[in-house]
Amino acid sequence: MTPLFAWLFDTLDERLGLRAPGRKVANKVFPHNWSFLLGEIALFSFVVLVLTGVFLTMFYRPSIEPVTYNGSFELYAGTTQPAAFESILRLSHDIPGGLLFRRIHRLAAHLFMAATVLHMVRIVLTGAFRRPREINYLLGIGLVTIGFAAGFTGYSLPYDSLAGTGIRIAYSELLSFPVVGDALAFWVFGGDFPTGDVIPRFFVFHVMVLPAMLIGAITVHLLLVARQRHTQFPARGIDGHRFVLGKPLWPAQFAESATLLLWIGGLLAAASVLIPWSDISLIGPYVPGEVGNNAQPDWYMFWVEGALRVFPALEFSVFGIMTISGPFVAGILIPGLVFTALAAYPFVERRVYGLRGDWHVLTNPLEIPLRAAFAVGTFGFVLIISAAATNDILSRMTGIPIEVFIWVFRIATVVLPPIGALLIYRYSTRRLERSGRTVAATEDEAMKPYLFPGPPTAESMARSGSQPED
Amino acid sequence: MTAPSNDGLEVIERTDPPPSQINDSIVALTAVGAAISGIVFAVTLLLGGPVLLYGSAMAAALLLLAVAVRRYFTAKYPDITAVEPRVPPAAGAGEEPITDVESVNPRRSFLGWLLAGAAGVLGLSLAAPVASLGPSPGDTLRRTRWAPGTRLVTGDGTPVRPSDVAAGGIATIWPEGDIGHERSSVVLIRLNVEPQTPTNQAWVVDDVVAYSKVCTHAGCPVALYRERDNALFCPCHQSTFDPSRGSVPTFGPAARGLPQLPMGTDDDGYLVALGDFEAHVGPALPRGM
Amino acid sequence: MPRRTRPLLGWLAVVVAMAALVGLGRSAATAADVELSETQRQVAETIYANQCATCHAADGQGRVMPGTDVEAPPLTGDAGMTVPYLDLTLRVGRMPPPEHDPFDNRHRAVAVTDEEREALVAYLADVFDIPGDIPQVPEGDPATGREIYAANCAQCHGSTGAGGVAGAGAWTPPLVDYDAVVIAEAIRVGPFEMPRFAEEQISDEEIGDIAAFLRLVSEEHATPLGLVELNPVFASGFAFLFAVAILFSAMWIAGRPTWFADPDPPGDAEKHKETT
Repeated sequence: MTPLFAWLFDTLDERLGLRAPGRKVANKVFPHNWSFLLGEIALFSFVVLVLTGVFLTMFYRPSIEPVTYNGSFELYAGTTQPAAFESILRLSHDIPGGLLFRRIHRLAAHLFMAATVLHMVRIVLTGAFRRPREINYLLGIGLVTIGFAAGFTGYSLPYDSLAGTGIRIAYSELLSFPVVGDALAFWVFGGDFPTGDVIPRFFVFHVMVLPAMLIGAITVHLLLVARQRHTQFPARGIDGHRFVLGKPLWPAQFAESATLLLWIGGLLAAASVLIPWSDISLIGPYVPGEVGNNAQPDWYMFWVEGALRVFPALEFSVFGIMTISGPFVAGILIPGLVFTALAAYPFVERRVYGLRGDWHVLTNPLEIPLRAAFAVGTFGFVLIISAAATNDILSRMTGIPIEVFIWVFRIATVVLPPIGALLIYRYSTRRLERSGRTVAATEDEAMKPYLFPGPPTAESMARSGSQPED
Repeated sequence: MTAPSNDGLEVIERTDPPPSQINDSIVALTAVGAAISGIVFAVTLLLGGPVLLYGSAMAAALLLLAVAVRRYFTAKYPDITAVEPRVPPAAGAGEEPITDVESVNPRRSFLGWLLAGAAGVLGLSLAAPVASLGPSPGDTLRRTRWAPGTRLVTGDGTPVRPSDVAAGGIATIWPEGDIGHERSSVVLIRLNVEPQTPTNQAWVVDDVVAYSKVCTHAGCPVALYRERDNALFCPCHQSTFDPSRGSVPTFGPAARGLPQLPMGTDDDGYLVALGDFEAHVGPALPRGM
Repeated sequence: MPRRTRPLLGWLAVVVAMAALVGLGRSAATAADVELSETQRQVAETIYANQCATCHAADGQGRVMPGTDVEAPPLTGDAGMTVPYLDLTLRVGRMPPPEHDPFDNRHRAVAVTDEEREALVAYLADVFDIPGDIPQVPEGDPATGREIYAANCAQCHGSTGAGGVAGAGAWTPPLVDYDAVVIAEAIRVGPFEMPRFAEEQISDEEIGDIAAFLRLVSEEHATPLGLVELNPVFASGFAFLFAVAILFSAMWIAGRPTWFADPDPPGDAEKHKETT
């Protein structure tokens, strides 16, 4: 270390006693795999979101009061627009760097959601949710939900035509809650749609409440990973139940993370130059009673939008005291079911296979039939119903009437996931039979094929590099 | 295969990187390139350059620095694979007391529960101000701004005559004095076929009929009119309505027809409402009001 | 691109006509005023005979299209045809239909040149007694145009004129490549599935504003990839590609993907080597 760093470290060490804990942290071993970077990608996207978000918040005005735009874009020069939309116009056309940072912010949001979802898929597929990590898994599902909320409130803030249409539909979704829907909608919106309170409230959530929840939840999420140690892929000769195999924090993980952060930042900037991620100047502000054709939310909300398009007409009264309608089932119940299924799965798997003890080594989903079926069924369903949200674009591109697409998706969402789940269940069962293996109930049993036959001996422990007790 | 322990780190495998002039040059070049790109970014941004320029400079700076960092570290440090033991959860969990000071008077447990309950009740009641976030809906959702005698006007306030709507035409209409009130928005259509039940013929003026514009599915404005086959189409979730038959839904997720506006003319020949809609407007109401 | 089959004589007539018309230059006068020159009449007669009469009949009364049970509409004045409607149909390439699929109603390539279209419209107006004039569009203000467009047109054609779906096989075409005359004609005529807007609804001046707005959209600065504003579906396509790039980056940084090492079958002690 250079003299400067040495002096700096010594100064801190004399006051905070950093040397010993610092060494322990620096030597901490992290299992190494590209798919373990997905969570980090989500984290770094969040960092970019906060940094660009602070910049944008300096200029954004959370209000729909009419103001005059006096900037350089001739399409709106001298016209009166909602203040939120006007501030976005100024950011996009009159403030240096404004357009770039708007686009980076939007793209980083896309990346955050994509990385979070893929990370969740990886966790489910590899079984990293098994005891003792169920709490962290549930926390992760909470993080995905907060992410959805942050994304939705965020792209609604510019109050453009597309955003306003989404806000209207959100209002209708609140309204669809049986018995209490109208009170709920009025409570969230501050009155009957559209109100002047919606944008300020979304702003508070998007800029204060949700980031605070995210930072808190991410911190706890990471602390739990640090305390329980990361899971790892099985490796021959290593008892993964008792030992972590990987690379130390310093320098390997640090270098990887630093490279990843910079590289992601660079790709975000490059993609923002090439693709107009959040440009809304031409589509104009939201005017109640107006709508533009080709109206969709951002991609991570496609599954809700697709459900709304595909779910057939439904409206019935229960005992005359409450109404159940299509938007409630499609927009609230179905997503709720998906999240419930995801949250419940670790406990179901444990019960079904009679699992015992703690698990630290990842398991192959192709050899755990229930998990493979669950993953294909649930994620397949979400994928198909997300595709249903693009049915008007598909219709325009292929020349096939949209009514055909709607029927195709109606059938596909109901028929394809169970069939897919069944097929992979059968494949997985047959694969187990062919290899003569079963779903192990304890991790020691699962580790056996990777180690020498018999329980771990002192010699095999020494060979794998360490004693069982520290 | 095992290397000697590395002061607290149990190393399994270690690969030392060979010294490489090429790598060192690459680190130097990319690092300097990153710095220059960073300066270019700052200068072009401050001078008001185009997004293409400062955006590319920013991208180049970050990407180059990433490469520099990676190559610096891979050249400077060995590639180490290590193991460390997973420390199992503390033994005796559940048997050891959590604290060392025990309670003296065990009968206080009832009071403890009472205290906890009271704190809970207080906490909940402190949430009461949250209720003032929104007004009570009452029957606001059952009514619109249309009343007997309200004139139909266009977006700029001009009253409408039936002849103003072209054959096969559609117009967006508002109640006079409440232009822009979303739930009162109405579409006016001149049908080119005979209206049939459940269209209320008494409310059709010279083949011109008025329906609520708010979709009964999720509330988007229903404003696409296919003149050829007489269909109102909602762009959001593709609900289709037949305006010649009371706007009943013919396809898509809407379950109810668009309410028809009771419409007539006043003495000057302008279109006026005869009253509010008879059914509620827009998506389903939670208690079927 | 649709290929049109023409007899050799037709080609000759077209080449001669075009040479003559280039000398004449373009005029903004209406079809009703223009005197139909002999070359124009010949060009128009040839085009009509070869491409239109098969379906619309030689006398313009319309007939069942050969090989189908669909009746092509009549083109005469008393059947309701107007000059703007005819002109519009030719300008946007709706007619003559492409050979590969005469019923594909999506955006079609224009099949006649400007001179051919002018000749054809003037000729048919004369022969079939079609009333009406080709509209003159005043210069407009794009800001006002955007507001009127958003209120009347966006729900069918998209907020930026990108076109969309209208259900039951109907499509609304993209508007950004159409000139002002097309916009004006379409608004007044309400062709095919489109509703029509009378002067009380959208005045002539406002049509000019709408055309100005659409022209501004078509001239808007694009990114280096030629993109202006993205519908979320296309944005998600690009986001997917971006995510793939990020995943490959992760593999570059952390090493090739490894999946689950296949454990040896139990009891195979010889194969258990110390691999780390």
